[in-house]
Amino acid sequence: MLILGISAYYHDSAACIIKDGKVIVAIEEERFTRIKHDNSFPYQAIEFCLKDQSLKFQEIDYVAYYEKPLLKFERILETFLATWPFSLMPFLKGMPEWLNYKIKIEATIKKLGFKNQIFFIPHHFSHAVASFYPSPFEKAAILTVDGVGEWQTTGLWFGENNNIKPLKQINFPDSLGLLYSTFTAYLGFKVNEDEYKLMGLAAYGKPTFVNRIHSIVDIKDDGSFRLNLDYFGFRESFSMYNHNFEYLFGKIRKSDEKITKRHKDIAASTQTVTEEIYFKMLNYLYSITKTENLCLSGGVALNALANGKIYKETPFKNIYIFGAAGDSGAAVGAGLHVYQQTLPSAKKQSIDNLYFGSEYSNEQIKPVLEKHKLKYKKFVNKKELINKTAELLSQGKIIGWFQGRSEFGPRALGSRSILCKPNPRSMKTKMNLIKIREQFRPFAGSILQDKVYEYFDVPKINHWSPFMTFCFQVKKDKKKDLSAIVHPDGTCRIQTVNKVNGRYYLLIKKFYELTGIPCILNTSFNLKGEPIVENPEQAIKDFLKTKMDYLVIGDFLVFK
Amino acid sequence: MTKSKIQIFIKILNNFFISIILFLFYFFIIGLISVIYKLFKNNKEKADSYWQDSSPDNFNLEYFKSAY
Repeated sequence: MLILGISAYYHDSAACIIKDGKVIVAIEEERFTRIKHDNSFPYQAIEFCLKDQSLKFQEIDYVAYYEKPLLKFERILETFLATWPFSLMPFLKGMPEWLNYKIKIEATIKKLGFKNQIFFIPHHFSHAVASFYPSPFEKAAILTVDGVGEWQTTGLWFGENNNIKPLKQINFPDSLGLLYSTFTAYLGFKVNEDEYKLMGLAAYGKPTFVNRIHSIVDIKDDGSFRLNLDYFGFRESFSMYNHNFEYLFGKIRKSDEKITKRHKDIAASTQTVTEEIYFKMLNYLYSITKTENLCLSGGVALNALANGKIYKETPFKNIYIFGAAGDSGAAVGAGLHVYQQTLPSAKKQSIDNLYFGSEYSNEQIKPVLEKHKLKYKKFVNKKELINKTAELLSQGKIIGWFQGRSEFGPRALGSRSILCKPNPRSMKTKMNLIKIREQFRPFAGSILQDKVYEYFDVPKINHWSPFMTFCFQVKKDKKKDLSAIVHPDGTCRIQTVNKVNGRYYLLIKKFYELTGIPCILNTSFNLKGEPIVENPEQAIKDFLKTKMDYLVIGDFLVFK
Repeated sequence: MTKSKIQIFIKILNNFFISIILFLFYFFIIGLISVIYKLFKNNKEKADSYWQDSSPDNFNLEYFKSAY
């Protein structure tokens, strides 16, 4: 059975194909359009998925769309009623978009030549499925939390075998995701894009604004909450906050303005309150499900800093977060649910890697290298290429790494990465200059799974965290070894690497043999404002534009 | 080239008329419904918990076939 999963029209549009319950290809539209977090209908992603599997649209049995567009439209209309007469401008902008294409999903899909059944899976249910079905758990508590779906912003669920039962929910406009995004916008960052900047900035400040944030959000002991809408503008305007908010927290920061102590403190306070709500919700979820297994999904589940503290702040012992926890992953959730719904006897299959994207052969790469007249060496022996790359890394070189199938989701997990050694501290500065990004932002580390316990305060030996969705404290005696990736709060976002990661695993293993450090700095292969590179041409252009020392692409080592 | 300019002009004119229609619709139709909506909409009161019960009964195949 072939199912095409689609997400679109909010952010991170994506497409995937599920074959007999297994994800065989998945990719975001942004990789092709080169618009970061592109929300347009994923025509190119669909085309790629079909081409990659040599399929025609007519061969697809079902299409699964990740939300219910008419229910979402109902919410939009009701919001206009509730905010009249202040929502004129969003009405004038939003109505043509909705009436022209956003509610015509079925027609859009049929136009592509699809004639079979289309299913519409509720947004948060798609998230819940995307976290539970790929998890290794037979049963688990599930929390979905993001900006907003149709109405729902937060969901508590219980998953057992093939069934997911909804338990509790919180609806728009009360939204933890929108609360976080409001402060993201207030601090001069982009909504739905730069939330992780706020998370990074939080480590530099003190949570001195917590009381003020409590005055705009009422939090109950069970983690449920309500926003005081007198301070928010996202319902009736294009701004997330309003003048009351500005009056309470002071002057807003413009994007090019210097970051001050006040901004850092507000970031720290936002993170603190978010974690307070998050952990209260999770403790409540545990109290009603009584299982130690937890699955998390939705944009807020990408808050790696909060995720790392769950083990200490709640009774949950085992946590699975699907790497594409945002809306792109909901396309996978929708597809997996349709498979289960139409074939109830089907068993869920766990996902331990996200290498579902595009791949380029040496034959495709070589002409691009020659077009750019680059010096390169082709390695016939894979081991020699790995050894040479590890040697260069150990010498402090910065290397573009373009290997195998690209990763699905927001994180570079060793297929489209820029790599360097995790010390000294100056490597961080060097890498931030290459990526043209703010110096306060931290870098993640990829570490051999069997060594993770020696370097990080992880909950168990051989801890498995393959999708970079957790931050953990770096052990005191290892901070020097990892000085380029330790954040001021002593944490680091980590990816555990094992044999599943193929060449990337071999590379870190060799680097460990050479240096005694089983970890390297890993950041996504892109420059400021652009999505992760999709093809060799883009990789080479970024390589040439920056001070990257080498590019390892396919079996080629490229020099400058 | 000229044709293209005419097309652009027609498009701008078209958008302008759509905006006027939407503007009138917003103020008179949405406005009227909004007044009724606000009269009958219960104001949120403080409670011990803001969690709402989810309804699991809907989750059948027919439900997922609908865009609503």
